[in-house]
Amino acid sequence: MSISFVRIDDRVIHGQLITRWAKELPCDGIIAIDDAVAADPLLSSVMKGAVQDTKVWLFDTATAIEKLPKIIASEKHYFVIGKSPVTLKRIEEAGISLQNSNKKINVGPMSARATTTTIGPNQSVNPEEIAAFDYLSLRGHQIEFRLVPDASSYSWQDARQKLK
Amino acid sequence: MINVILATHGSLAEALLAGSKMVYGELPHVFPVMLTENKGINSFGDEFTAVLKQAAKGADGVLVLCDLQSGTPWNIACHHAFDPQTQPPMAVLGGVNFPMLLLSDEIKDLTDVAQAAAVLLEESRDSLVQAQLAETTQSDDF
Repeated sequence: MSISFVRIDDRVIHGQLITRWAKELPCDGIIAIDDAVAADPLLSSVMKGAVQDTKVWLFDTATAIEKLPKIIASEKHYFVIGKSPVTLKRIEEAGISLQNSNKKINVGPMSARATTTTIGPNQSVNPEEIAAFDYLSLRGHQIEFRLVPDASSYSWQDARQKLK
Repeated sequence: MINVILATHGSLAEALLAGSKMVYGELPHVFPVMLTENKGINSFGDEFTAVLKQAAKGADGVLVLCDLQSGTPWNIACHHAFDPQTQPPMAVLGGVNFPMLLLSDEIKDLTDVAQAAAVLLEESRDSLVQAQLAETTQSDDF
């Protein structure tokens, strides 16, 4: 299994945060997945430029689904970062397992938006994202909301209580 | 463990902490203290002493991050740090920026404050960067 870390982060690639996680878990490269960012070559290039020592790939969801089997089969260790749980849901629906050696899906910042409910520090979810987390949870993923390795955390089950 | 005092002019310390809350969440090891125009230097000194007392509780060392070398926060921090009576040991860094504050989260579990200061200074140097574009072609070599 070559995915060493799966994260949801609405900034996609946040230089300092990725560096922080890469100190805790093996990281030979980063696979970032988001349709809007991948469609914007300038933003893609800026984001890749923010991580200097590690190789970064930026894919839209369809390309990620095509490339992930090869990435998972690799001997190297990759971080997979999606901007939204909806992206990760689509990937699993396409038959690709995001099970990883960190044994969970980590969730970082998800900003407040018009239809979101706040469930933690800088973590807000809308109905579509709630459904996606429920789906990922049913697929057997442990979902952990934790901004940085040492920070306090809570699970999707904990968050679910607040949403009732 | 190492506790951190964030000592600045104006409301910079509070503003940096508000920003860090968006990225790293709470930083309970950081104690802000600010020199403001209406409070003046003397009352800042008293406040610093009080904050230091709090930060020293249960800590192996206290690291002060100042915004400016030779400013009042710096001078007062140094006054405590180089007093041989001060316990636990202290160290002072100048030129704090947002990444340095965030990176302080990584040295808080050390016990030697001199080592913590050296590590944090080294890591923070890399945070001053010019934006650059990365090449856009992506290889299939995983």
